[in-house]
Amino acid sequence: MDAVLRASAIYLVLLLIFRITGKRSLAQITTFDFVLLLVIGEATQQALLGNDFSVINAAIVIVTLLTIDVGLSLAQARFPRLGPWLDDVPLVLVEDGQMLQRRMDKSRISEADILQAAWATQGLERMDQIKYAVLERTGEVSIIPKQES
Amino acid sequence: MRRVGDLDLDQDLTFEKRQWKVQRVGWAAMVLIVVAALLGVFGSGPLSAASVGDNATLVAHYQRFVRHQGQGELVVKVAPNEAAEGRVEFWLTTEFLGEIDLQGISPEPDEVRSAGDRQIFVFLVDDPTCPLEVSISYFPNGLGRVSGGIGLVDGPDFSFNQLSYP
Repeated sequence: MDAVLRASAIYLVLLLIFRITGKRSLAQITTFDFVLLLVIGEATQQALLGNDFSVINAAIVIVTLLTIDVGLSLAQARFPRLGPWLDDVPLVLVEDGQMLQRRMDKSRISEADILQAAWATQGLERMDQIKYAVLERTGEVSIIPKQES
Repeated sequence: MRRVGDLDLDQDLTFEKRQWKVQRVGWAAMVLIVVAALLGVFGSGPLSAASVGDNATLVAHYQRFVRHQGQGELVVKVAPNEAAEGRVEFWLTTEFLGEIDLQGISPEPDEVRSAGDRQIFVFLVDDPTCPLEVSISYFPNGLGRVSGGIGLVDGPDFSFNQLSYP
């Protein structure tokens, strides 16, 4: 019983914290973000397992986490209004080469972040070559280039 | 699926704006949690440190807030000249001892005996004019409010309460 309660509590706490910190918190933008995720994993490990290092306990914890995950995705399919609350929504940041500054500020995305995504994924060189930049639910920035005329 | 410009995109500006507001409140809550943790609301810290007793007989220093299976410590200071025939005897309620996993008592008691709903710890002291300080370390095992009682045998009773977080 203990393991199920622990896993459920940790799942809810992590979901809440990462939804509060916003889209960008989970995106592995810098090496340090990646290190931070590893450290967060370490910090939750002890609370998940307690003092019981048995295989059964680990199995129960994993099954509980995945069951909640599957359960929530089924709930989302059934109740579409849950989707945005659990998984966030995408947001257009650049439209026809024009940065939507307020949205970028609120999402903590800089011009440099968009340009980096533009040349890394599309080989673009300037902002005016971007038709749309979309901040995805995952925290990544997708770039749609303007068509060459 | 919604249409945003030429994009089929699930953008929802109303939701996004609401979310920004909730996130700002959430960030403030996170700062408050960190400050509260620094102050000791979730464990050790100035707001958590408490003591019970009186200087004439015995003072117990304990933490108001502990965490389930975290680290807890109870420091008992017995005033000088409280030893009778070289023995200092204080008790803790079995109710409190049932809510903790005792890790160690330093110095170790020379005798432990049970007396109804109390457990008596006996320490032999060479010099009764010196105060005795005993440190009891434990892992809190209870959840929620945990009540305890402590006192010298034939002395006044003192009670204390702890809040044990999950």
